[in-house]
Amino acid sequence: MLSGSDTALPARWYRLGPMRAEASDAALLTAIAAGGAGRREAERALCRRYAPRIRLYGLRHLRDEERARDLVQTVLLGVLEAAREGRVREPEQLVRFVLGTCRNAVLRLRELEGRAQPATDEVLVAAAGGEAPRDPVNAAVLLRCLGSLGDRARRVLELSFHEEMESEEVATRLALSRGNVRVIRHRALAALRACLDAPAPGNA
Amino acid sequence: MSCARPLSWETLVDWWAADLDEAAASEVEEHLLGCDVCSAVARRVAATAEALRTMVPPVVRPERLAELFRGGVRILENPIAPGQTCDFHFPKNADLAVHVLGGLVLEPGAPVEVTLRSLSTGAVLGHVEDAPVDPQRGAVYLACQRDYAQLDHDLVAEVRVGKDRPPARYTILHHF
Repeated sequence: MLSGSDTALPARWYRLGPMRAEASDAALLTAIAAGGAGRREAERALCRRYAPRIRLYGLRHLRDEERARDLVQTVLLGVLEAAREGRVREPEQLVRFVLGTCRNAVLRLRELEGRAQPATDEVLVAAAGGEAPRDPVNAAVLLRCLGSLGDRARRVLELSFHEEMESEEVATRLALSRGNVRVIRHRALAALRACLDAPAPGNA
Repeated sequence: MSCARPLSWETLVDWWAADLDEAAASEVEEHLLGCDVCSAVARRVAATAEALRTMVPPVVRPERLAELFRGGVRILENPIAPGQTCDFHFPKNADLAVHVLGGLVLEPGAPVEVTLRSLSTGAVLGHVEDAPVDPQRGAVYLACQRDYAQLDHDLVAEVRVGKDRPPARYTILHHF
C-alpha cells in the first residue's frame, strides 16, 4: 500500500525532478523508504529503470511476452514492497536483490503457469512495463534478410532459434563442431540484425 | 550512458541461446539488470532471436499449423494440384493463408525439396531441402502472410520428391 502521509519530509528535496532519472539506486531506495512526497516519484523512476531489464530477463527465461510482462509486475511489486519496508539491506546491491527476486518469480511462474495475482499497485507497475519497447519484424523483410545469408548460416539460425536446438544438436545435425556453430550463430545473427535495421530497398 | 565493461555481442548471443554455464549466465544477468547500455544491445539480440523463434517459415510443418490454429490464428487453406495455376486473393478475414501443395506421392525416407521462384523473373526466392510434409494428405504446406505483399506476387513452387523424379509445379498468382 502506498503511504498517505506525503507531507512528512521537506518538499523541496523531492522536487529535484530532472535529477531523479539519474539518481542512484541507493538514493531511490532511500527516498522510497523515507515515504513522503518523493516516494511516488522515486518508485516511478525505479520502475522505469528496471522494467525493461526485467522484461528481458523474463523473455530469456520464459520465452513469452505475456509471461515476461507478468514477471515485470511480480518482481517490481516485490521490490517496491521491500524498498518501502526498508528490507533491501545493501542499497548498492539492489541489482542482486532484483536478480534474486527474478529467479524466484520465474520458478513460481513456471509452477503456476498462470498470470500473477492483481495487486494494489498494478497500475504503476504495469505502466512501467508498458514502456518496454517491442520490436515487431515484418515477415517479408525477415524472409528477404534470411535469404541474403548463406545456406549454412541460415540453417544454424533456424535450428538454433526457430527449432530451439542446443548448439550440440545443431553441430551434430550440420556436421560442424560446437565452437563453429557458436561462431556462425553470432555472426549470422549480427548480419540478420543489420539487414533488418537497414532501410528497405528503394527507401534508402 | 556508458559501460566500463560492455558485454560482447557473442556473449549476449550465447546467453540468449542458453549456451553459457550457470555461473557465466548469472554474471551476465547481474550485469544486464544493472546496465542500460548492455541491456539495450541484449534487447537487439533478443528481438532478432524472437523474430526467428516466432516466425512462420514459408514451408511449414503440419504440427506448427495446428499449434497456430490452437493459438487463435485464423488460417485459410488453399488446395492446389500439381500443374495447376491459381489466382489467389488474400482474404481479409484470415491471418495466414496456407497453400496446400497436394497430389504428391511421398515415399518413406525420400527427401522432399521445395524451390520457390518468381514466375516473371525466374529468380529463386527460397529453397528448402528436406522439407516437412503431411504424409497423410500427401502434401507440402506453403505458408503465405499478408506481409508478403512486399515480395513478388507471382510464384512458382517446385516440389521434388526423391532425387530422380521431375518436380511437381504449382503456380500461384497472389493478389493482396
